[in-house]
Amino acid sequence: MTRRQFIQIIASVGIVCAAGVRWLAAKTDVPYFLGALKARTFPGRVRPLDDDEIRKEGKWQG
Amino acid sequence: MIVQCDLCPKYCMIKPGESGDCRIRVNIDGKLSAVTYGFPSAAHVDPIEKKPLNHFLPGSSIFSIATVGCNLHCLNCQNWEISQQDPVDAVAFDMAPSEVVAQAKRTECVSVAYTYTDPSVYYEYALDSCIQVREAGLRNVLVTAGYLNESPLRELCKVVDAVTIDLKAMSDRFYREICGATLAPVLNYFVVCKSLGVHVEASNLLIPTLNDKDEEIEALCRWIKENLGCETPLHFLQFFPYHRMRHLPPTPASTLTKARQIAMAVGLDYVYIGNLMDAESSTTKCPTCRTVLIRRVGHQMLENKLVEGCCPDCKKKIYGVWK
Repeated sequence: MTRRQFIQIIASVGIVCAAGVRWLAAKTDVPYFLGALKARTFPGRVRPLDDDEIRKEGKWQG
Repeated sequence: MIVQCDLCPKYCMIKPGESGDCRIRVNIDGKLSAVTYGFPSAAHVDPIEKKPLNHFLPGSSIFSIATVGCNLHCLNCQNWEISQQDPVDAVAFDMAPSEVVAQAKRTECVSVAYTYTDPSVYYEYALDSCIQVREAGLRNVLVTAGYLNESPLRELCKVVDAVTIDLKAMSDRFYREICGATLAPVLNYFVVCKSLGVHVEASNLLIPTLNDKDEEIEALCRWIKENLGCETPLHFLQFFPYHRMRHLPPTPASTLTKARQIAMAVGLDYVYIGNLMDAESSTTKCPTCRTVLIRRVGHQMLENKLVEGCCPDCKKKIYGVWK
């Protein structure tokens, strides 16, 4: 192997490694949020307010 | 795209279509969304003493709301039916923050409590409601386990008047094994609230064999005294077998009484026992001259002798918000 061929192999391996690291970084890049967006719809069931129920003491602790 | 929620110390990494540990902060199309915003599953008018809060507008009614979801998963949770419920299975009211104000006024409440589950996880809804409630001249109360990061907590404290924090134990191991959380952020929550001028009361649910040793109770009381001050009210609460801890008996009255004696010996001025009908341990006395100031039975106030927030006999200023 000539010196030129050796340098070419080292350079190729380096480029492949750099591309791999960049791909991995992009894959795991996590954007940070200071808050959550307000969802427009509720995923469960929505029912009307019950005035009598609201005026009663809650059965829950707290 | 994965998103990370930085609201609480769990820092959940949430994949698309999935939720965080609290069940209600969901990754929708790569964006973190609060799916219970404006949709409380519980709304009631409670006596404020039920929170428990004994030194904040005693005898008043408080409009109390909660959405489903919680970032703790306490094996003994008394409200597990809503705190551990998936929003998909939940039933809720459509109640925007402006409607929270309207309902509180309509039911003649002078304050609003974010309670039952944990306001930490329905943070955006609680914050927006607090802002509008404050603008309407009413007060805001958080009833919480205190598992929230400091930055969002500081923002929330700007519009919160009182907080009652459940200090579950003075053991990180207890928090990890029983609650799925850690102790340090909870202690920090207390200190931040107190330092920002929010009225703070503490509660501690005594569970037989798990956190009811004398040394543990003493350590908890000492921490409160040294970090929050002896004026901080402490409520010992009776445990009842619920959820995944039905094999343990309710806390004996003798354990609660002993805990109260320990707390008073440590030097805390106001120590109460909750969930137990006992006149002595629900009465507020002046820490200086021992004059009876506020008498209660259960969650009902019977008599309030305070004059401008002071003892009528020795004139000592009593810690609290009285009007």
